[in-house]
Amino acid sequence: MADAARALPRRAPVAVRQQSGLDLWGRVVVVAGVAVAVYLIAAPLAMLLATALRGPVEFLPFEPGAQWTLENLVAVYTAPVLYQRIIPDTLVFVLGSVALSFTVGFTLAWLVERTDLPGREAWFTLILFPLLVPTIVLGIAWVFLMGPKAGWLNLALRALMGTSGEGPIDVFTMGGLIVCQALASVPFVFILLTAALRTMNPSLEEASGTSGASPLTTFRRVTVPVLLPGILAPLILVCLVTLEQYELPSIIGVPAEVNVFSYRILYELNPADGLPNYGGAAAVALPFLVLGIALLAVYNIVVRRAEKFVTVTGKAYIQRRLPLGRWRVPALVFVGLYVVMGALLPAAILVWASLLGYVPPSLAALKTASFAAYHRLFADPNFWLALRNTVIVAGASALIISLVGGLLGWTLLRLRFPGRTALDFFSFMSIGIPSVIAGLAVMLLYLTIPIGIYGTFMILIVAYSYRLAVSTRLAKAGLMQLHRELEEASAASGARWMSTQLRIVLPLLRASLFSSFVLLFIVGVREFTLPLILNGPDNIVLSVLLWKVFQNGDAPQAAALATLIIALVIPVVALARRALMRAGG
Amino acid sequence: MTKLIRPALLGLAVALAATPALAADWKDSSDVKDLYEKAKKEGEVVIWAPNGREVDWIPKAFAAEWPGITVKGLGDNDIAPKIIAEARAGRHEVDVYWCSITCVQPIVQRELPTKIDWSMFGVTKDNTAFDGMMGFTNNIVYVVAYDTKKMSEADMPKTWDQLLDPKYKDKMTGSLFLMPRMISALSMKWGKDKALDFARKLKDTGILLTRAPRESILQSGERVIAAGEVDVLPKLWAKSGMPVKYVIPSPVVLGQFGGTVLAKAPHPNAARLLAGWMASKDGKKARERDNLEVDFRPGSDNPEAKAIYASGVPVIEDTVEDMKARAALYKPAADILTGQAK
Repeated sequence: MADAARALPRRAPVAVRQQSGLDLWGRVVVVAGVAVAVYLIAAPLAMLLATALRGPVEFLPFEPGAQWTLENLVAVYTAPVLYQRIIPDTLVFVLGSVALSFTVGFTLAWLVERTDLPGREAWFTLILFPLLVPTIVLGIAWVFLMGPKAGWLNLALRALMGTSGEGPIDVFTMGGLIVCQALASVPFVFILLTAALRTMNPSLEEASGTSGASPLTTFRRVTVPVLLPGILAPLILVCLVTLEQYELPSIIGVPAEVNVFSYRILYELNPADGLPNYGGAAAVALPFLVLGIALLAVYNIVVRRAEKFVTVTGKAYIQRRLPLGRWRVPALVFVGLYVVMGALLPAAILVWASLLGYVPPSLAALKTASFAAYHRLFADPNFWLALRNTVIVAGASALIISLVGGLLGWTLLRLRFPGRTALDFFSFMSIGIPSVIAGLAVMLLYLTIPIGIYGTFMILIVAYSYRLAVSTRLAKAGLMQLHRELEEASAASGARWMSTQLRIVLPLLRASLFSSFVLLFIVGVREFTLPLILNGPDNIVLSVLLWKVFQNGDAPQAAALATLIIALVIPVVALARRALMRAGG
Repeated sequence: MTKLIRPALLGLAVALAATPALAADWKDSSDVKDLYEKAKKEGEVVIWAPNGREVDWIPKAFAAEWPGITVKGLGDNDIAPKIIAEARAGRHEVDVYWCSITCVQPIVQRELPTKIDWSMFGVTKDNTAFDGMMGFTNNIVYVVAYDTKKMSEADMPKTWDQLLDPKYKDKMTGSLFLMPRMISALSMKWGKDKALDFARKLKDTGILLTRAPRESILQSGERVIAAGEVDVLPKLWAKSGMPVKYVIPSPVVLGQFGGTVLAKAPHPNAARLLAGWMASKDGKKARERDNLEVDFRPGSDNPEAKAIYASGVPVIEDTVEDMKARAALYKPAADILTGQAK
């Protein structure tokens, strides 16, 4: 018997094909997708790793005269201030803002996707507001709201309390920075979590409720464990994204003497003389990569048995919403409070500033309101060129990343092949690459490869498309909820791989892909470091125009442009959401 | 008397003839006319600068004096690495690079610009640098701007160290980008210890140092003084209707800016014409009129500059020789101002 068993040929390749349903075209698509993903990430990643080890600072990393050296790492990691101030400040900042943003974001996502909260669709779009506004503009709006002397909220509170002087709120503190960063990060967490919450089969929760468990017990012992991949992925991503944030720390943190790690990157890139210190900036960015790898390793250990998290099987289910009952009003108050602080007040500041500048509010001031800033914008041909370029670049890159990331996620989850774990880590590391390094890499690559996209908007599409970490994580988390039997049944019925993907997997993965597309579209509209580096006369985008207007000292025009950027993105988000709802996602 | 006057007039004529071509004359020289004809055939010229505001005014102003040549501009903080990277790849898009002497230096070190004959534009040798590769166009001057509805000129400091007066506590804002640079420049007059001590004590005044636009901080009333700004910014704010003015404390701190022509400029004649015009008195007048940027060097026609030199206050110029020394304290000052060092 044993001899007979040993005599049987190895059947692994056939078993893989049967398991995955991959036919020839399927293999071509998968290999092409993986190749595209590797290509998009490889140049920025290689540039980051190489640049950190190239010096001295008088030479650019790729120039003759630059050498391999550890001096960047030594300069950054032997500075005592790193351990005395920067790391402790960074830990407090990141942990504080992630804890707050995740708690608020999860609660909002659960209320919008799993309960009968009234006005869900409107809340969905309003909750995303902080994500739509360029962070620097949002930071200024919050200073305008919560500045200790003249912030609108403080003026109102002092009037109510009958006090004078400063405060009671001071945005220029660690607490102020944490709250502002959390407000800015909530939409990111929210949109990532909505995908998982939307797809979850409620039967497990219903069974728990039927068995007598309270909603809180059901939430704690059923919902959270089943959603673990869908929760962990956003948690890891928001940790890394917060760690990289430098805009709010530079506007609000530095006046509060809060020094975070990411600010060192800005510091290295703006020396008093000479060239930007790309080597120093890359050296500062390396821990983001290391932390990303470590967090991903933890994630993989926690979710290693993917079938535990399956909730979508061949059996149909109806998505039911939990009735809030007497919790409806508190839920509305909670959502309303976030929307007021995160959306309505900053929006009011922006509109006010676009009409009047940052003058304090008063009826007298209102009489001088003018649309001149908008007229100047509309009269500028660069605005229309930038608008066109922004829609094309953000839309195309979001589509590419979502599709390639989705395909990569499927490949990593459904297939077994040598190097699978390495590919998983490789795709995730893209989140640890600062935009400035990615921009430098793309610039050098397409100066060297003469395919004619340098200086065009095509180079921006390619440059933006290295951010595969988010879409891959989302796709994997979404796929974990889908039982393999759905694809196997399709293959067994004779459907080709492509047909199975298009008719079964993609529709079920709709929510994840939607979240990925919307998030990446918004990020693409806001992104300004990459287009600034790759800036040419013909590929200007709205974020670069905003930066130019800021530098010109034209606050009303900057606020007007920020308002128009929001006006551009909101319909895209609303339409995409409507399409998702109609498709029954 | 006639015998005395005639030789005097003759001497004057000789002196004038020996002087490099004056503002009104240089455009009439045959060399310049010839250059203009060649530049018109090229049809366009590309100029890059650290930010868009510094090039946006040029197309219209240049076209008014030199019609038939289109000026295209690009503004970006990281222009120098871009020029270097493109040059290494054999791609040459830019004709003229305009920046401060510190940010032009990496380009000069790589021998990317070319020397030009500035004298044909009436530019004297002391208004050039890097052995004739750069022609000076204007300066920035560090100033203290204030909200005129809440402060008066009499309230403003006459010297930089007067900013440490308790009456300014919690009233000031400043730029995280500019302030360390200014303090580093002040060290050229004060010495390193006094400059760093100034940085520490300035921090203790509660100054709100930020990368946010300071005009929004002033407009909102959160602060009433913007210290260590460059002169052109409060001028722009005032032009937009803000109630703001500025004073120039002693010692006066200047930054030097100018233009270079790239050796492999795709439009070499138009490039020379543009760079030469910008460094000429005509170009400087146009820059002052259209972009509010002023030449503050000795010999400038600007009334504010003349008043400063006439008053005898010390002036810290920005020179190629002093660049390294002037930048040496930037990092220590920045560390103190951001709370990373004491």
